[in-house]
Amino acid sequence: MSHEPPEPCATRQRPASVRRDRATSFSATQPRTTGKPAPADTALHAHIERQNFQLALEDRLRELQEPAAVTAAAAEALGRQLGVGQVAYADIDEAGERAIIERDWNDGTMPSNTGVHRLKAFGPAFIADLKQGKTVAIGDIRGDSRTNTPKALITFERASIAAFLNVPLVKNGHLVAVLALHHPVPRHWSAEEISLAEAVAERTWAVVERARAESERDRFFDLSLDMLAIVSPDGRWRRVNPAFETTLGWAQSDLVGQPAEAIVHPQDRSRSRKAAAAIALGHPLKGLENRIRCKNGDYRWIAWSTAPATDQGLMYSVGRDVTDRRANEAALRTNEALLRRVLDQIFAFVGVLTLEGVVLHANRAPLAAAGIRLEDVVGKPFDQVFWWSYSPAVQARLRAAMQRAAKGEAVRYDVPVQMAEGRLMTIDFQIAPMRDDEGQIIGLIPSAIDIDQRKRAEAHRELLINELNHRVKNTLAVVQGIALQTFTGPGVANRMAAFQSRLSALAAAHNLLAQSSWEKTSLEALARRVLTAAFVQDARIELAGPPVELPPRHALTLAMALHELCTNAIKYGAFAHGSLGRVTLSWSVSTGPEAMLHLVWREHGGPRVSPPQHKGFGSRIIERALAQEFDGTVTLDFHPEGLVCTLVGLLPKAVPSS
Amino acid sequence: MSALTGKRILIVEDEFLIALTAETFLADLGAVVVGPAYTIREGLALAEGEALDAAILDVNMGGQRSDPIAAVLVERRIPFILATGYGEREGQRGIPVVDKPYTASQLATALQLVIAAHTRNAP
Repeated sequence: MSHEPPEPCATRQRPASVRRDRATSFSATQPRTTGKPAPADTALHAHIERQNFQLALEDRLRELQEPAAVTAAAAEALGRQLGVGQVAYADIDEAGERAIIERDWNDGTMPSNTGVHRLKAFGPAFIADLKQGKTVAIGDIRGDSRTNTPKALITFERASIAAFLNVPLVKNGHLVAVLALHHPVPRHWSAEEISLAEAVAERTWAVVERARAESERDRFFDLSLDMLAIVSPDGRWRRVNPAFETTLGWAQSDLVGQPAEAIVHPQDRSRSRKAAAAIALGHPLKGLENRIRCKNGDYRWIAWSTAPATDQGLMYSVGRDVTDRRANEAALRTNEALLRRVLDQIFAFVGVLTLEGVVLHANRAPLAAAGIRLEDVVGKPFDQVFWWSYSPAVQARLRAAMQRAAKGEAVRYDVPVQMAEGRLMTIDFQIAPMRDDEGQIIGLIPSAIDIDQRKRAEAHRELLINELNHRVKNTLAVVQGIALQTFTGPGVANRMAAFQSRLSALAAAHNLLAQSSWEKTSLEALARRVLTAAFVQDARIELAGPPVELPPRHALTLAMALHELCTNAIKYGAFAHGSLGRVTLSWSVSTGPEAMLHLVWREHGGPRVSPPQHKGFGSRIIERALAQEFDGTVTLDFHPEGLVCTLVGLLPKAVPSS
Repeated sequence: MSALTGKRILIVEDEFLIALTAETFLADLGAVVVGPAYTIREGLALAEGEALDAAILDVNMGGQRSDPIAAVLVERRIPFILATGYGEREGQRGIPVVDKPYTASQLATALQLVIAAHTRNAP
């Protein structure tokens, strides 16, 4: 709380000037009725004078827009009219504790009391009256019990106040402002004076509040990104905000007074005119979109929301530039139509589901294949649709897949679905999550292709290969029979057994190749099959090497060679009767321009080895056939601790046999 | 002497030379050969009418499956093995398979296996 130090009271006592001031009119520009009235006319004269004063004040306030200017003008007018030393319009803060005086009017004899004042300091008694809406008029602060406390007196004296009239403005139960008339010497407040001050206080408050609201509205009006306009009854722009210039390039001065229709696109005019006619009849209108010409000649699409003020014939309009939105929407519609056309022409099955699995769309192919219509599926739970309805198990699997997809997983499997006339078609089916730009899962996309043909072709080929294998093996069995019947007599039994086991090895390799459609076979599986056929125990052989796939011819030759090594080991080497020897078969592949296979058969722990006297069929298969097939070298090392056979050759890519 | 000595074994096989091979192997093993039956009809007659310890059934008899004979053997609780060129390890209901061309020892092992299993399960 800050105050100018008050001057001594004595210096400001000038009762004579009070009456003089009162006699002069408050404003030289306003003609008033003056003159000395006859005593009988006093009441009438006072009444007329007051009316004139109020009319003049009204005229004065109407010109003002700033709240501070309004309060200042009211204060001055009232001060001069009543001949008081000081008039201030004080705003009261929300808490009801402080009075804020922005400007006051002084007659020159009193110091200004602008600033912030604590209400309590003036004595709680009369403040309580103010808060109850009672006007407080005190002719002499020293003579009134509400103000003659020592503390209050100090406060009043500091402000040079000897008498005052406070008019409270209580709105919604709260003291919001006080019109305060201060006088430096004691004086009487007449009932007319109190009544006038009260009238002025009410009027000032109303004008100030309206000015404040208007100034706030003006700020929004200027700030708005949307175009705000008022159109006159004759269809001319009455007021437009700065957004017109930023949006369309038209300055306020370009438009105000001009017909609004002038900048509407000629093709949109009749539509806009009809809308305006409806608005004029009192119907507010939202969503009229028309093209408005910019200053540079371009057109922008503007969406209008317009409300009529029928009593004044005005139209209040808010316009928003929707050119970009319309362009985006058009692009989206074009994209959507294009996408739909594409989807309807592709042979694959594609749909769109909600996260819960309700069908939103399906393309033409699966509908046509099942002989159903789009209406039969849209809006239904996907698993309840015709395609799946033939089997509860298939439906359950689909539901589980949809749940996983809704959590972000793409689930794919082959499954039969129901088609027209109850036929089942196997599809390669996938259900995948659909995400928005933020990665949020917003739906599910089922898709599928018909693999029925492929499945049937695969099954047919498998059948053919099995049949072929059966024939080949039967033929081998027949060859075996011929040999058995041809080579009879003493001494051929051993050779016959060797022949039969060779046939068995060849047959074992055929079986493996048949399993993989005669395309390839795994080296490890081949070795195991050959060793199993020769009754070698698993414990006595160690296989070590990376996965390697062999094409059919290589597989057959390697099977024969391994069989010979195995037979030799049984006769003379690690697998010999009574021996506990073992074999390690290891291989590796070196990568380069061409893959090289490095394969080693190493026997150990068997009887001592010496090179054979002569080379038989087995050696030739191993050394020649194997080397030739792999386009490499094969060495047989009859090391005393055990035979070591090494193959180094090209590893051809396993390709389907023609 | 082998475990198959004196056993009566039915051979069902439509290929003469393969049947002859089986016959030779079984004879060497001391078994008594019943058949061979070269058709399903012959096989059915022998399977129904003969006293048998075991049987060797060719699965594919000239394009027809030998299942009816297998059914009779199952009915009569006669153990049997299947002979095929399809490369399977095991037929329906766990019946052992010998893969063609088979050796005498492969045949003997398989037959002994089913006869032993049958003896164990017999009441």
